[in-house]
Amino acid sequence: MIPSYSPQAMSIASDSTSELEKLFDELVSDIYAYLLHRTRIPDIAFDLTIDTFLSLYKKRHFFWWKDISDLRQIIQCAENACKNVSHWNEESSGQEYFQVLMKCLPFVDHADSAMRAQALIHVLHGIPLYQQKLAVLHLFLGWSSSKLSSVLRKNEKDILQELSALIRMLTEKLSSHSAFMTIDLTQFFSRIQPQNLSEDLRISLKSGVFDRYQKFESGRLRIAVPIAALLAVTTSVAGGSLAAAAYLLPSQPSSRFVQEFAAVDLLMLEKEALLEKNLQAIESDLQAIAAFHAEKPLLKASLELAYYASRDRAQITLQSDEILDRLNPLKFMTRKSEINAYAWITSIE
Amino acid sequence: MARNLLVRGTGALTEGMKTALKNSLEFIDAQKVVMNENALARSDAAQDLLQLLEEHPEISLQVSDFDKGLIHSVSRKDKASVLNSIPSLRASSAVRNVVNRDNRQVTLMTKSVLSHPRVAEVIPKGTSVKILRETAEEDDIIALEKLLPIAITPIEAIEEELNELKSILEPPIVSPRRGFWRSDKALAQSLETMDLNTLSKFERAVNQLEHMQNIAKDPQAVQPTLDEKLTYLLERRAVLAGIIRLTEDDVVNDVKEMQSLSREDSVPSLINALGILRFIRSTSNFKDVEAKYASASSRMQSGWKYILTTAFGFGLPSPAEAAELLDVRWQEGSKAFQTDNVQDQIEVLRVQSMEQQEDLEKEIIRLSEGDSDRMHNALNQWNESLKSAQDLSDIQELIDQKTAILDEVNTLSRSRSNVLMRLIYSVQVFLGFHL
Repeated sequence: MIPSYSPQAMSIASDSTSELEKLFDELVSDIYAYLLHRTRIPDIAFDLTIDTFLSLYKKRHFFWWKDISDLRQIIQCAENACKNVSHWNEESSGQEYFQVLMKCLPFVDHADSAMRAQALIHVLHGIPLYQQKLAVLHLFLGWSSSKLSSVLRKNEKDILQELSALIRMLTEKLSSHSAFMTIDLTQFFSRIQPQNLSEDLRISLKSGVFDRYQKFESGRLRIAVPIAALLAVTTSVAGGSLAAAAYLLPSQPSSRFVQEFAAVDLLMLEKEALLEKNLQAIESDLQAIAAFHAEKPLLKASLELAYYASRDRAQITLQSDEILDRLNPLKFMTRKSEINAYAWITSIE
Repeated sequence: MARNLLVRGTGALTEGMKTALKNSLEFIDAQKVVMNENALARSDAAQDLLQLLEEHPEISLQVSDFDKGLIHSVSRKDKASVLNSIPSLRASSAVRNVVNRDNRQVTLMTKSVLSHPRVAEVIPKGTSVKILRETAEEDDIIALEKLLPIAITPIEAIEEELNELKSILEPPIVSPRRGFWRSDKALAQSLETMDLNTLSKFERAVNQLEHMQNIAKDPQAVQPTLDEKLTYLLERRAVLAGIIRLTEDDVVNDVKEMQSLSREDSVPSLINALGILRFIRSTSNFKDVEAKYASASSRMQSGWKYILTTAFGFGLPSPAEAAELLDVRWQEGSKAFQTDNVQDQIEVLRVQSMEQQEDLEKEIIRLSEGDSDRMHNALNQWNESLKSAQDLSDIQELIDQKTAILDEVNTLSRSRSNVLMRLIYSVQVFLGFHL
């Protein structure tokens, strides 16, 4: 029985833009099929699919740095969701799954299909849990050995061995059954068809997930707001009480007197500060007058030093010019032709 | 090959060709001799250049080690070859650049001196400042040297005068980075003992001149405001005397002497006036006024106001705020501390201390026996000191002592309170609640 959802939730469900919605669209078919074949109850598989996606979203909310699109973790999440499903549930609504399973199986004869589905359920019940999971993923979801190896974190070669062992085990158990006596079981297993999720069911699941997500969000607010309010009130009351106590209770006399003497100190120092400022201003005035009178002797000294410096520089210039001219003699030939001539002489000699 | 051809002779060469070949070989031989002579001449010149660099370390310092290496290699006669023309070309260019750069520095500084607005007052008659400036602009050091008026004062005397004038600019502006690795005194000494060349001496003089030009003001304009400030000092002589620990008469004499010296045209007199002033400013009480003011401000402020002051750059509490606080708590007690009347201030302190005594005693009694006795003694001693206080410096000292006593009582008493009361006291101090 598929429940009905609010139009708002349905509108959210039809909009597939966010990252989480993309994840839902990509995986919902496999998750639902996995849960259906593991629980063998369509209604419970429907609810658990919603639970699985909701727990994924919650994970995303609280552990935002983690990658929730890891298929192994998603399958683990789905497996956790179906852990508590009891056998009596399966017994009470087993017929519905029986119909679904029949549709997956090859061969068109209804009577044969029913018998084979019955036998298959019986055999799957009897094999260990790991093999049950492997059978669901490989036979009913159609996952390849490479995909299984990445999800189960095992070597592909090992997975292939495990799959062939599984097929062998199922063949052994089913071959004794009258419904399978006339058919090739290997071919039978290879022709099991994974069932596609109908569009109605997909939208229902999506709206279910988003409806629950909205409730989760508003539920969080319902908890967070009272806590925040409580904290604010407590803090205000405590702070206010403390401030009121501080205001009403007499303070330490010594701390009051320290403040009073600091005020006296400030008034006394203000006079010193004013005097200091005045002395500073006097110094700058005196400096200005002294600098005015000092400019003339300084100018005179600078001019005389200009003479001494230029005299020395002129002497050095003449001396260095004479030496540098000798360092680059230009007798008879230019330097370039001198080098060329040397090269020519060397070559002809 | 050509030589062999000529010596052995061959029928293939005509007489004309032989003569041409012979002439060519003679020409080549002559050129080789010239080139060898050139190489040797370069070696001689390089040796002279090395000597020049040794005599003028200011030039040597500016020539790179690589270029010096080239000059060395050229100077070696045993390795003189025609190929030493290239390194010598580079080395001579490097030395010429250094010499030209220094020359340009001299011409630029001379131009700066000649551009001074008061240069006409010192230039001898018959010397054209315009022509001198134009020559300096052309960077022709030899022409400039010929045009500049011949100096008559010996360099040592000029230096002495510059050192004397330098004291006007003191205290020198000290770069913190410089002080980081060497004290200023050491730096000044090292500068004085350094044997500077005339270019460096000229540079120092020009820097000093520029600095003087920046701070110089016409005495006619400055004197009236200076007189006002000196008069203010005379009016506050009591305070000043208290701070620098001199008698009021001494302060009056000093200020009057400063006033008369400031009116003189003589630079030494003005330097003397500055000396008196700097002595007053250097007394310990003036030196750390700013730090004391900040400390008193933080004691007067409540915690949250202090946070506002430090974190958001609000101003320190003003004296008006301090006066307001005292007016509320000490029944208009601020007036006495805003005037210079020492007796009034002592009286206010005495009355307030009497009023505080009872509360303070109660707080002291709650301390441990040892601390209580110690604080009692400190308070009694302070009361005795108050009786013998005479001037402003005494009052300042008394305030410091009382603050220290109160701080200690406060700390000791808080440490004996329970956790809640300590918290409440902290909140009171932070919010400034004082009942």
